[in-house]
Amino acid sequence: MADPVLSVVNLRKVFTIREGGRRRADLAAIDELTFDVERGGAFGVVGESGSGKTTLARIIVGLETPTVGQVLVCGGDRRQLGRRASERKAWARRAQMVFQDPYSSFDPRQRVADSIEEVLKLHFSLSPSEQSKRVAELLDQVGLDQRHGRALPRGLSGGERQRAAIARALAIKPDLLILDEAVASLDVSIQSQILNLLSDLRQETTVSYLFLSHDLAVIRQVTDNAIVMREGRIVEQGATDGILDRPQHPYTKLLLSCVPAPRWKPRRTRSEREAAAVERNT
Amino acid sequence: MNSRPAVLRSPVGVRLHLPSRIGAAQIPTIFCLIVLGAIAFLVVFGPLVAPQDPNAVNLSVSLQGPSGAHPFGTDIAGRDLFSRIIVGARTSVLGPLVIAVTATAVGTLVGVVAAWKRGWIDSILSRTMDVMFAIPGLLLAFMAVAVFGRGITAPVIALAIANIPWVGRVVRSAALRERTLPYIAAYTTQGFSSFRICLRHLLPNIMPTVLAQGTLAFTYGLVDLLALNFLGLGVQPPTADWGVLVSEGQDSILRGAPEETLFASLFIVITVVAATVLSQRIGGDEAPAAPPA
Amino acid sequence: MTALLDIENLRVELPVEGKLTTVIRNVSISVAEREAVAVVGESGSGKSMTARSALRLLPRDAAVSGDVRFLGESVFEMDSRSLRAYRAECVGMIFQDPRAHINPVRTIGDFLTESLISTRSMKPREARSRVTKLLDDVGVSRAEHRLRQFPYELSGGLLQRVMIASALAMEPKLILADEPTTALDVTTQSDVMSILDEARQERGMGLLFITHDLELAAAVSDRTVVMYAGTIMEDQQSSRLHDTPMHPYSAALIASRPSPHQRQRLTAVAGRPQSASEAPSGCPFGPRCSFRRDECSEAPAAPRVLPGGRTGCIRAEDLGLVAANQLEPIRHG
Repeated sequence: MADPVLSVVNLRKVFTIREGGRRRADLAAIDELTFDVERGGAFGVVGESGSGKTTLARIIVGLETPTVGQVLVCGGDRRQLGRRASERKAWARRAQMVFQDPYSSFDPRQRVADSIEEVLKLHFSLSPSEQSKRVAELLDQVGLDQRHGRALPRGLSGGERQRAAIARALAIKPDLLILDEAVASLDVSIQSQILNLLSDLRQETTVSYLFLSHDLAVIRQVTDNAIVMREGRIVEQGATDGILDRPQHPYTKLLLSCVPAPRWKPRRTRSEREAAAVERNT
Repeated sequence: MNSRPAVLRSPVGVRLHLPSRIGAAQIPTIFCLIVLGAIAFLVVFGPLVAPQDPNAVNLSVSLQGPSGAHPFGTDIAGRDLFSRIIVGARTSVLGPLVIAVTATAVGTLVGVVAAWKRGWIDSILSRTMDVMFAIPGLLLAFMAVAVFGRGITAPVIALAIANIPWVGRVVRSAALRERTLPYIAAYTTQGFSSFRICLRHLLPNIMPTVLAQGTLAFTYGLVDLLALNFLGLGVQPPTADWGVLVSEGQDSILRGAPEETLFASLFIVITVVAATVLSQRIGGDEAPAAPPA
Repeated sequence: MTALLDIENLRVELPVEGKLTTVIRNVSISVAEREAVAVVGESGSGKSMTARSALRLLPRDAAVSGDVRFLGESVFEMDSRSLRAYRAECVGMIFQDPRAHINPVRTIGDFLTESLISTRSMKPREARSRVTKLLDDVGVSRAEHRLRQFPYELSGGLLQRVMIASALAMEPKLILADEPTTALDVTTQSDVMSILDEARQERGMGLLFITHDLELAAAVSDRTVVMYAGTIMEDQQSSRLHDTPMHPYSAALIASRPSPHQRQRLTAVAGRPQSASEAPSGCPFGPRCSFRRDECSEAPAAPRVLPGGRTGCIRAEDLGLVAANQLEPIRHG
């Protein structure tokens, strides 16, 4: 790939588990992870809990530090990002994130428009009128209006908050937008609205998506390429359509066979021994 | 099927229309605020509103019961108890107030810094607070008096220090809980400085906890200072102070005149109860929980 | 034939900020013996409140009318003793979050044997061998060892199986499962649902299954009831629901769900799910429905009984939502 927006090379993240302050165990949440996301692309990361996908997202936006490996966003090295606010401010323009839980991703005491304005103030020097115009523009882009802007987060529904969270993330005009299970906690009829919004925004802006989800249907809907992760490692990668139409790895096949659909019946998937093995590791 | 429509009567309060649930629930809070407001008024304007000179000795009216001229009666020296209690509010309340404000400010700073930085800074701050927990506040105050002599300044400083870990520990755990929420992570990824996130977003959201602990520190300070004054180690007679009044009134009880101890104690109890109830109220009155998804 | 569980004309109002607001209106659902009925709905649809009403687990200040009968006996008129017996022995409950419903400081064994020992006056040893067998049945291996473990030592999927074992322990006639797999991974969900399904069929129990997932509901139930804003939208055989929905709302739900097998722009429903108190009179889905007509605002709150099931849509016939369903009549309450 000529000019990837995100490039992850041999990434590894190890968490040290302390039990009673003494016994230690090392757990690799992410291991030997390598992939590229092309500019303007929509890239899916498929994984269940414990797959390491959330850790990956948190490393990219700077909430966690990698143990080994390289993360480049638009050529900028993640290692430049330290604890200083100026470094974090510069990195913020590269990658932004929309969180899973729309109910706690806003300061409960701050009006929605104010929290978007606060971000604008930090990153751009706009006049007050330009600023409120930009806020209105951003809200409009995600299908909200002034009334929503004036509301406190608790005055908005889950779907409206998730729209506002997208607007806030787009305010900085990041190169990469990371969506961590961004529709998982929404009602079905709202989920489809947000998914449609995301495909519209892709047409309107130049932002690239990194979409993390356990939901194969959602991955199919928004992404072009994807990786399937299990216990911190990639088990399958390629074009989304290819992975889902012709899955190669048993785990991908298992995931696909577990999606409820017409004429689907639940079945016992893994032996309890396997389940126990997973349990010991977590 | 066409059976009679059964109406279930729930055991209590069916179709009970309260004027407003919020208003009804806040009556105790409002009541406490009124009580504390009245005491604050006495602190500021006590000497101006006291009907008589609190230190005017008149042995001819010693140990009188409540009357029109002396609503709470008189003490052994014939001083008007009503005026002494009103004027005494200032020394009785200002000390605890200084203790509460200092302990809350320092405790909140320590708690938020420990929770935000984690790691070795948290370890040092938390262990230091653990050590301070082991020393009773009163003991520290006694030592301060022993070193610096009688008076109110030394015990106030000692008790302020002793109350820091009580605020710090609770604020730390509240801040720890708050900082795991995605909105804090969102501000971090947007490039805001830690100082700004803590000051503008984290602190306002844990303010109910901070205020509750502050109010609690006030009551602890009040009770501890009164104990010191009762023992004669703090405020010195003839200055009117509730603790001093309780102490002085002991002899009068044996002479059949319990008014001095009784009324001073009453004011202490009212203040402590009002402050305690208020602290519980604001502690529990956090931002409403998110509606279920 | 008497239904196992018969919810009839249920109406529930709860006080919100001092004002009574409707959360369920005119809901009738019946579950026959050995039958599995799913209740599907989005947030605010009143599906969980319906399940709680079946156990009379409503807030004390709720105003309730209608009736819930279990084998003909009114649950609302039971005294506290028979209500306790009903909850303990007649209905097995499975919740969304098993961790919140299992005492964290007692072992799994204590949790499972407690009710057997206290209600059935079984000997501890007897109860232990009984639950060991049950854990085997729900696919928990090394059951003896599990009995000595504490809830925090088990994963969510395993804990939910323990919950199922506990629900089965009293050999109830009805299982009430409220979003039992929502917090679980998809592979674990498949496991847990198949175990629940097998256990239910082997023991001939009825099931009332509450979920937001229409496809999951259809996979494990005989009949699906779709709820919206505290009202029943439709009720028909699960196997036919996906292909021939009887209400525009169910059709919209099906169309708005993406598929892992193809990509196409989703037909999203405008607006957000409303609660019963926000919804207008008549058909609550009216404001979001693309087939709305003026007369929809006068639609009755209870669904009409048609040959294929029940539907709340007054235009079901002229929208062609009924014809395909007139294959065989099904029984309903």
